Amino acid sequence: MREGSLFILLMVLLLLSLALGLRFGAVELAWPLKGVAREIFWEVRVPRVLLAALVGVSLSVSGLFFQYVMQNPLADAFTTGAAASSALGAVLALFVGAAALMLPAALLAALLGLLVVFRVASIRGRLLPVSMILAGIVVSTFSSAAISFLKFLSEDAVASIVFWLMGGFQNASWEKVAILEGVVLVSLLLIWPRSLALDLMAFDDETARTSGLNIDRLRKELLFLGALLTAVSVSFAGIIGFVGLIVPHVLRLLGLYQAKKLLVFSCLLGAVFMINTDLLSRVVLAGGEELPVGVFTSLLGGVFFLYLLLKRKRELYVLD
Amino acid sequence: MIKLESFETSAGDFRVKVPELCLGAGSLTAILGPNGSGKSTFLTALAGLRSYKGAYFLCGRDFSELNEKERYGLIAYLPQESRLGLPFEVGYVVLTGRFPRLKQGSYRQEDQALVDFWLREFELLPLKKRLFSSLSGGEKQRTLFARAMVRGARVLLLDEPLNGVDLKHQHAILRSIRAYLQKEKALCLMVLHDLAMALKYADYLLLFKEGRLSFKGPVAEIDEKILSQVLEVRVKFFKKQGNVLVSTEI
Repeated sequence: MREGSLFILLMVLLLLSLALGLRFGAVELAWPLKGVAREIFWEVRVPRVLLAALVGVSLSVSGLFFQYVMQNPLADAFTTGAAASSALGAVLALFVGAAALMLPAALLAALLGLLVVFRVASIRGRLLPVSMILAGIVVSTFSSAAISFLKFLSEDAVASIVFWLMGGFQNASWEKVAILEGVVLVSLLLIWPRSLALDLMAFDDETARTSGLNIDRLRKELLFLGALLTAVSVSFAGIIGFVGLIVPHVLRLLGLYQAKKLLVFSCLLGAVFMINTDLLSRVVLAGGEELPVGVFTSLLGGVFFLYLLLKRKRELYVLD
Repeated sequence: MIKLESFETSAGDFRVKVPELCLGAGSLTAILGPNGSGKSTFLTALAGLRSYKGAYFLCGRDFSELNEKERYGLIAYLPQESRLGLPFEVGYVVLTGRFPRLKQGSYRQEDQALVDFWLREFELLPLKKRLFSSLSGGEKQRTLFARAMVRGARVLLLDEPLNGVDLKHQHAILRSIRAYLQKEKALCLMVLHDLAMALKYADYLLLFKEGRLSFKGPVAEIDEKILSQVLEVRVKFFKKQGNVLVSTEI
């Protein structure tokens, strides 16, 4: 498919998804909006749809960043363990009663987790996908266990986090929308001018360095921005797995390989994907009950991951 | 083009010393020696990937005073083993070799033209749109070789660039390298294990043994004795109709 038509298609889908997301919800709103309905629409539904779109963007973009840092297309916030470790950071902040420090704690923990994974996966300038996945599993498992332990220690205070951690946008607000929008914009503006350098990061370190790339600096920036995007997304919407894996992958299957194109299209497809999965999680159960959106993406992601490992491994990567 | 004085570099405890070396433009220099003799260590140091002691002048300028963009505008380095972790088309893999020569934020028409030129030289043009990961080992190596050539560098540092490349393409590639060196007044240092290829195409030989440069000189000056000693095999030359044939056995 030509990129121009794909762009138009995704823009149309985005507008359509926004309209659908705003139209349907737990409460049936009577149009034209009046009184309470109007308030629900502006204070609940609009921020919710916008937050879903932004989290979709931020997870897709952070997934891309991690893929360049880890030099393989299987990396995202979930598989690198960044999502789980930032959740641990956030829970830890809640546990000690410092809810205001949730974001910084999540960021710090995400960075720590990523550092461990990077060190384990990096062998003499070559990052091996298998070691990265294994290290990611270790970090994720450790973080989940630590979170369970904290939940066990403080039954009441942290009980509400169970639902939050499964991922969802029920706590959306305009403030969260504004913060995440700022983080997404800054990350994209910082990295966009260097999109050609990003592509060089896919090579082994020696090749990248001798192509005139300051790989250490760019790697640090990408790790930090990826961790930041993950930490804010997790703090606001819990752990929503595999989005950063699925979105860039679908784009690569469509024949987009260069960072410049992947960045643009990941934003669009990420937003479309997240708005729709959120909509699905809101309307699939009769009677206004909600499913955590993370359940959906993980179900989809699990199947997708299996497909990749079975069918596409030879074409897309060398799992050496 | 390359001038070294009491040059020393190391990989862990292993030291490589080159007391003096001066290599001029237009020559293809083959580096030979047993495994672990310091060939790759030497080449990576010249490529700026290792710290070194002593003096290293590149095109008349002190290497340590060149910034990254200047260095890798002048040098193209091809490592012994490369890895590409994300899917890219063959044409784009080669195009990324132009990165240090970028003037603005994107590749231009002339960069694309150079890519096509080298793809044609290395008989890769039909594979331009294929994914790099779908190529065979030899095709990958040719693609990475083309990526090094597209730089338009004055100094080529190539570490076993013919690994896995079939004989036909080895000859074709070495021919086109020689033409390039002559046309651009460039210099090429190439680690090789194939003695016959080295004697046929190189102008100059460097032999490494146990971290020391044990021979440097034009190909015409090399004899069976030195080669046998350094490579630890019995080397014999046979002259036939102006060609030197070489046989090796243990």
